[in-house]
Amino acid sequence: MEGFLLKPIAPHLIVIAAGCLVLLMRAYGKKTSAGASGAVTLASLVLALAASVFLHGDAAKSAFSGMVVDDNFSLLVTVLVLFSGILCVMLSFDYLKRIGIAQAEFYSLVLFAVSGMMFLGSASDLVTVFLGVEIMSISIYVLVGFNRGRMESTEAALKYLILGAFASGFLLYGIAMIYGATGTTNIAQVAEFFKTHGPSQISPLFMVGLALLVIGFGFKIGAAPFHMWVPDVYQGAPTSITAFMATGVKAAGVAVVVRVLMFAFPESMDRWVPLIQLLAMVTMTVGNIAALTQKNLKRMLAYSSIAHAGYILVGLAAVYSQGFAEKAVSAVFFYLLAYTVMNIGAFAIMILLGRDSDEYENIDDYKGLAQRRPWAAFFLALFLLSLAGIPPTAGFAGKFYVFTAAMRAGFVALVIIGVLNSALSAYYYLRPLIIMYMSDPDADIVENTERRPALIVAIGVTAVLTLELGMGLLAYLAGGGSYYEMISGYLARVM
Amino acid sequence: MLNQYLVLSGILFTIGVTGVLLRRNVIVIFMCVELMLNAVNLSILAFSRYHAGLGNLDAAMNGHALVIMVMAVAAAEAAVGLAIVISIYRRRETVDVEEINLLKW
Repeated sequence: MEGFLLKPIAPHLIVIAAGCLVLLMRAYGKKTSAGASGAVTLASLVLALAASVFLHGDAAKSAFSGMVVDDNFSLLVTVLVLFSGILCVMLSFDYLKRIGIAQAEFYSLVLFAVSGMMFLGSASDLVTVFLGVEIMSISIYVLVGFNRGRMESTEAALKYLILGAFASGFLLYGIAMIYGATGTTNIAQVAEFFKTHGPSQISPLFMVGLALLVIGFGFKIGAAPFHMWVPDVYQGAPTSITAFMATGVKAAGVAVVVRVLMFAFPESMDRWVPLIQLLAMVTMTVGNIAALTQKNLKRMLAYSSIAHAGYILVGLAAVYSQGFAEKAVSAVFFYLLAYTVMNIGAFAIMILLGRDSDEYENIDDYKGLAQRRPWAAFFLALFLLSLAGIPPTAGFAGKFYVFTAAMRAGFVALVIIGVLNSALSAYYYLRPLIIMYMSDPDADIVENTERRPALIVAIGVTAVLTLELGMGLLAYLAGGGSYYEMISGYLARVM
Repeated sequence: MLNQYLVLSGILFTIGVTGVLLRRNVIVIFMCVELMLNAVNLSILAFSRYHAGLGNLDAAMNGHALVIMVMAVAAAEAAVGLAIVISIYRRRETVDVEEINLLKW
């Protein structure tokens, strides 16, 4: 056992070492270009992805006295956040140069944030959970404020920092109470404690701790009513970081919620499922209604990301269905994957269209895009349709799996509210489409026609995956193998 | 004794939360966040002594380790926070959150 001590965290170590290397390259080689740092970052993320897949064994292995674990669950999270990180770096290459913040520190912070997310995926102790959340968050605070010349950016960083630290306080208080109630911080031992002591031991102390944990996590994944920071921070942050926060940070946050609630408190499910249900309803509705009136595309996507957090929570509430918990969690993972590809795709198009001084954020800027840049308009339309959940895209498949899982758990009201919300959201996703295709362009627009291969590749990959994941639904309905089945096959072995 | 420590920690935590919500000076808000984290530290240590009193020494040591981690994290957060405040102050000459309000609907 001792010989394999580092194996479960080998991918994490690769990412952390690369983060340090990028910093040192900049410190010792003053002439190192930001492009070289970016290339090292990209290479190390791909290497970590390969390592996490190839070093992964079928049996769960824990290390560092049960602080981290390498199981199928952690593998899925690691793959998801590394994928999001890779796409974010590809989006950043030219964008950073264009807005004048191409610095090596940016990439090393991305790497440290990714390492925090990976630790969240493989955390098997509440202390690791706390440290993972903080490693991720502190790196992201700096990244949000990285564009120091722009006041919105630093302001967003300040708001995120204050509310993030506030949320960490709640999270930590929750951990403290659970530690007080059970005498351990290890997730498996907490579950064991309730199994042996029975429901009579569910003390008020523990219930308060659980509620505080849910509040802390609610802040981190941007669920209403803890969402007020999301629009400001997403709008102020550099666009590639917005894409990263909406996908990677959210995926890691949701993963840790699942890990803590499902693995530590399965016995008290009837206490926290109603809480999650309520959060899901409020989050979907608030996000969608607020998104209706937005004129800034980045801010609209921020509100839409709140709504999508709501759909994800619907899937999480669906773990209540006896014996189908792993199906519900697979639906959540599938949704996270689908959301990652379609959302990063939409942000990539925004970056592609942006010019020197103009961030290209207002929806009116997209007037007549179909005539000026037919391909960009086509791909943006694809991603927006997918976000709206229109077949045959990934967004539709994701919603299908999530709502099916909720039906299986018997939450009919929740599903009805979810479907109504999807219908509502079609309004604000289709509005930019109409503006792009139905109105004429302004005459005086100078196009940004630079060649940006990394960005084009990112758009291509996300577009193909958006369709591919959506088509998987057909295979699923026909009874064949789909990505969803693959994910639930993995999860069935740990849940 | 456990109860007294938990009540004190609860009071300190509430003062911190109230401060974050009501004060307008960013520096004071940071102090309140630190107060929240240290209130939690106090209750973790109280629980740790309580578990030690029950004879569960493993549990007691877990608490100590957690407190040290929290102190390290709080320091990192303060460093980043002050850096962000300085970069805002250089541009706008204010640390009043009411005046830092470019982003809104």
